[in-house]
Amino acid sequence: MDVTSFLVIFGVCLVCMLACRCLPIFLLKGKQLPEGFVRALNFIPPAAFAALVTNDLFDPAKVASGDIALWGTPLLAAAVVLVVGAKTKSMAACIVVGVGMLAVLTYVPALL
Amino acid sequence: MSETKLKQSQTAADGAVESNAAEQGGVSAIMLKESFQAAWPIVLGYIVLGIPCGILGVAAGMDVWMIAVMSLLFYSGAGQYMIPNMWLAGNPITAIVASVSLVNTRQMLYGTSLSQFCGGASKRLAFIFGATVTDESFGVNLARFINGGWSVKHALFVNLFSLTSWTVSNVAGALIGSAISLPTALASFAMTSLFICLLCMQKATPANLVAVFGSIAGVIVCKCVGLSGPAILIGALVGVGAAFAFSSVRRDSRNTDMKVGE
Repeated sequence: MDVTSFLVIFGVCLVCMLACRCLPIFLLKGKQLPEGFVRALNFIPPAAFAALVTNDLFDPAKVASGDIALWGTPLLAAAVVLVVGAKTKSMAACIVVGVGMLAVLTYVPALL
Repeated sequence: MSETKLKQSQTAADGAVESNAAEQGGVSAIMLKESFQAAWPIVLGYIVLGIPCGILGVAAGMDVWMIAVMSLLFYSGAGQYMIPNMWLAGNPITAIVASVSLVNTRQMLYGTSLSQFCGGASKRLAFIFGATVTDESFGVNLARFINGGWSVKHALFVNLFSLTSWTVSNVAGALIGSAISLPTALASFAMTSLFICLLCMQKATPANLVAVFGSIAGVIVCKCVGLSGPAILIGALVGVGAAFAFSSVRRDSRNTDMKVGE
């Protein structure tokens, strides 16, 4: 990647990122927000994390490929992490179990 | 200044100091310790994710300084994976910039949510805090803000610990370069696992479950119709909208019940 391309990509992405990250805080901080708006804000964390997880696990191209292992393996590992997360609420435990589980499910069948 | 005026302004100043005590006070060792206790799982996750990200950057022909500057200022896991991947795939710069920026629009939701707790923070503090928010630190900080006893400075240090680990790991990855190859699918699953845990930490109220399933459906539909860039934002907004409608209907019916005289 040449320096000019890098600077263009980095610069534009940075400006967009800072606008998305900082503008809402600047525009809304210290303001008395309507009750309905605050109630809607409370739904952001469950909705956002569900969206991030779904985005990571669901890929239409992989599902369409017909290779169940391709999308089923991470889904199975995620199900295990969900159980661990619900029981322990420990982020460290989830990372270790998640990556470990996916490694086992990915590499062990190849060895058998 | 008359004595009364002086007294008044003194009282006002006291009030301001009181409400902003946590923001304007210095940084104590206890604060750093509390912030690190909150941040360390993120730090761990970013090490696992940052090293392969740095390696990927080098593979796309980026210099170490580019990777360092990008990690420090742009500071986006998804974005920093997408840029080298799309560059290597031969995409034009406009496509790269548009895709990455669309994926990052979800950050607006975090700022909107966190703004409730930034009332006492100065503009400079609010800017640095806002600029260093990520998916993971948002989840960790919001939970603590709601529980109480958490200041914007606490939250900022969670962000800074995470940012440091992200930058150091990326640079380490860039320096290691292609000497070792780490499977990126495995590394990025560390983040997926973290998101699952953050999801598990939400209260399992009926309205929250509506938000979760609305959001899942929204993302799936978006990706099926080819809107993979804004899928996270649109999906999350569908979830928020569905849960809001659900909670409004439930509240209305409850209010009606009360009027009936239950």
